[in-house]
Amino acid sequence: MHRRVRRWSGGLAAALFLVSVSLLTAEPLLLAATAIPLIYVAYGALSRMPAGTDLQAARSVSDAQPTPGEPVEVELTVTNTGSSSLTDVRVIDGVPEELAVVEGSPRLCTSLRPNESATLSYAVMAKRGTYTFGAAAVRVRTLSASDEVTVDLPVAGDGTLTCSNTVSEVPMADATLPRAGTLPTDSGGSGLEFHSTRSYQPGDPVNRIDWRRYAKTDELTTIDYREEQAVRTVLVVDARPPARVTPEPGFPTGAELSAYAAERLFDALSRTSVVASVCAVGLAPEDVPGGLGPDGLAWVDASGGHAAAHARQIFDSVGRAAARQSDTDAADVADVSEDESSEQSQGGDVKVTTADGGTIEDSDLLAVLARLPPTAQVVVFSPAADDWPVSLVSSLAVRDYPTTLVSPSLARGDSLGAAVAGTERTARLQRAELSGATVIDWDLDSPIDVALRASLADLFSV
Amino acid sequence: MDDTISLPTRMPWTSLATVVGVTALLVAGLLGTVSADRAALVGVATGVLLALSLWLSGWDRWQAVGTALASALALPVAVGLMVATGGTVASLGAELFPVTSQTGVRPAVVTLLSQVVVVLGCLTAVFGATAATRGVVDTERVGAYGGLVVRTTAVPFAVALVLFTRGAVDFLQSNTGTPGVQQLTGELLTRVLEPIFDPVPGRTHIAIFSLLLALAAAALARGLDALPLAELVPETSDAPDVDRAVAAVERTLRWTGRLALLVAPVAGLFELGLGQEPMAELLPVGLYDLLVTVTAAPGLRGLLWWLFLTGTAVSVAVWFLRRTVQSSADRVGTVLAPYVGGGVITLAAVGVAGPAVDAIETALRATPAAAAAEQFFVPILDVYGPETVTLSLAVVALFTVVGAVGQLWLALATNYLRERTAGVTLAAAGLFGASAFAATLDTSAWLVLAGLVGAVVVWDAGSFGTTLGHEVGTGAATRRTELVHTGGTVAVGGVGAAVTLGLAGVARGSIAVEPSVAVAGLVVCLVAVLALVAAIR
Repeated sequence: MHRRVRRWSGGLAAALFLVSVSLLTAEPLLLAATAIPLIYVAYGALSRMPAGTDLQAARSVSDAQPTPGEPVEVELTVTNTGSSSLTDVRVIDGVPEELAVVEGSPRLCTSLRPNESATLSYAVMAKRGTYTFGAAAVRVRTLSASDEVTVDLPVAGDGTLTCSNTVSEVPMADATLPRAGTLPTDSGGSGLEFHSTRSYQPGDPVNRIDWRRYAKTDELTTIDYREEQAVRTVLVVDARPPARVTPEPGFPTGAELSAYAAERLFDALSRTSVVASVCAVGLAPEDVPGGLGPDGLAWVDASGGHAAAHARQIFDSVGRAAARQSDTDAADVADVSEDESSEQSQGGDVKVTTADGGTIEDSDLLAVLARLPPTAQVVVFSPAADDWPVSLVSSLAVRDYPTTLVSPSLARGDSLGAAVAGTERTARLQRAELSGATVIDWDLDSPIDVALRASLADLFSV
Repeated sequence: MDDTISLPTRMPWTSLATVVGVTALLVAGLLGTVSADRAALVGVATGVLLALSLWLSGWDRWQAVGTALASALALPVAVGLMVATGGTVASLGAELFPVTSQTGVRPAVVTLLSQVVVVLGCLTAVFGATAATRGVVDTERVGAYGGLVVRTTAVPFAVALVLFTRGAVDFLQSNTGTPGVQQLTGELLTRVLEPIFDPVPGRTHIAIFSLLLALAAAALARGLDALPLAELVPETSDAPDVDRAVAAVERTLRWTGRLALLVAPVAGLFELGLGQEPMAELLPVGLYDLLVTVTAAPGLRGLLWWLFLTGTAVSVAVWFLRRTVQSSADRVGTVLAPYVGGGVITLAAVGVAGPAVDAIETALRATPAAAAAEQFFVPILDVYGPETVTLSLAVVALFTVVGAVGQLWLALATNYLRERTAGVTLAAAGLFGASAFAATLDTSAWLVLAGLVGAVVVWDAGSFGTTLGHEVGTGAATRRTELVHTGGTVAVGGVGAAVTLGLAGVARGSIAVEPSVAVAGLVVCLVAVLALVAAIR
């Protein structure tokens, strides 16, 4: 887009002003001095964008597949491939709207000689999902700034940032669960009860070789036992609106981090012999493809087909809900007070129970308790931004479910608010621990795998 | 790139440094050409103070403190503005006048005018450059500051008006030829107030007494209603039932008021229609005497009047307290600050009245207008006293500030001055005007040309920097582009200055214009400037 800016036309008025003063005061120097504003007018009028202006841009991303919450360095290099010098080149990189710039600026203003390059570098905070960088917006001005051209410059090089949960390492490869062995299966493997025999294959454990048969027939045979599987593990993700808080703009919300931790654990569990169900609390029907169940929960059972794909859908839904929430927040800033009052009025008739035997009137809590299989172990993922997860954990504890609470720590920075929120969260985690649950406090500076390995391996190993 | 997004971005540092540095250098150079040094320095300080006041009036962090400071600074700004213009005229007038011949008048007037314009131009430039550093010139803030100065002026204006009226009344009374105004007003007041507070004894005054009673009862009931008596009593079971007692008293008062209001017209009809004697015959003797004693007693009337005043005062005080409690301290402070500032200004003006008036008188006596000052100023001083005169001058100065700020607001509101570049535009305009008029003084040509080019550079660097800050933000590295751009502008200005010097050398003495033609040309040029400015906008 080409545009002429009439920024020097005020010079004509200045010239006339000088003529007036010159006539008023009979000063010939001022009459001659009209040359100054007039030459500026001519400067503005004659200044044109040189022909053959050409620019090229290339982008490089330090890590195209980062983990959520990790800053990613991005570099954009602009090169003047035209034949003339450009005195004023302004570049804004097409950063995806969802990603927040946490370091540096994706904008640049510089002068470029022919074949000279300039590089702008910045860092964005990675979020779950795939994001595509747009074209860089470039505006070139002449020296007098009276002629400008604005274009969307296509950028070569890296164009996308994918932030997914590829499992690099299973944290609990050898983990055994407390209730392992109570649910027999029809497949053979290691276990206690005899299932079948088969011919030996290299790599079979030595202790399962049928030595008697070898002594009789000189053939190596392997005994298969009835494989034992754990009872179900239910992963409960707290995605209710109070959990969708974020410590800094652009940082993943508590709900998203919980979903991420749950996804890591789900992947890890699927690779072992653990049957895991996934449940997300607090989603709206429009967030989940296919809607919610009749009890208002997004629940995926391991027994159904395509369980992994459905579980992934639920984890993605949490991200969608968080994004929808931030959009609504931005749109309804003016109505905050009304929302608060309505939330308060809603909150008035929802009573959350405690371990000391109070009545439960929270529908989400009731739904989770009603849906849990009688012999399940439960892992709750929640940032513990309010008392709900503690109530859930203590309700589970009184029903004798082995419970673990994984809580990403959201309090960052030194502000008073962060300190108060952090203290409240610590108190909640202590209460959860006192009620009998295992609590994993996930400090975001260390990867979730480390936190899980440190805690769950101890917990689940025999 | 989207131009419609308005981010709160500022000018990058390099552009800002260019604007401030060039303005400071040129102002220093131009002020050297003015012979009224002190007035010129006061003008520069006023520019800074005005920008500071504008910033303070929009200080979000400490709104009340900012408003109070801006309000208190209104007087220094006003006095500075007066000194920069009036002081320059006065000190130069003493220097240039009286002229020896008729032909010397015009150059003297031109010199005087030029020096005043240079001082005002420097004031504007300093104000604009200072304001540009924080970007404080916008319609909302200038409007708020204008309102603040108007509210600040209200207190000294009211006090000055009262003092002035008192002085005028005293003056009129002191003249033996005129009938005493105070006497006239006094008689009128006596005639109105006597039947109310000091009735004629020996007869009934039921109507007026009832009216007074109704007023007092209504006011007391309202005052009692407003008082938070029930809230102050502790909520314990053995606490006295204040609520019921208060309600009973209030009910009684209201009914008394209504009854008195009903009685008043009836009694008035009887008193006027029948006269005293039939009433005395109609009523039992004891009752009539009691009525006479009660309704004509001045003490009782005074008591009723004070009850009325107390009830009203309590209602107003409670209303005010309730409003105050509901607002934040900052809000209350912001609303009250201008009046407090006005009060401080009034006290300051009255406090320094004697020395200030002496200084003004001395300054006036030094000017050619000494005779006029002797004829007008001294008698006024004699009649009204130094306090009234100082206060009136302060009010006039404050009105000047209101006028100047109002013009600035108008220019911003009509978009003749763009909000985004208002500061640098003012700085550049001030420098350009001052440089042009400095040419008529004993100034070297290079300073004039540097001033003209410098004014363009200030505007160019400022507006370029503002656009840059808007489009790219201050977070990006932009120094190289800014320096290249400003270098280009300076180079073009250098070519312009060289052309000017060449033209001036060639044209010196070769052009001679009749004065009448010059005047006609001047008018055409001025009209053209106005038309062009309107067309550009």
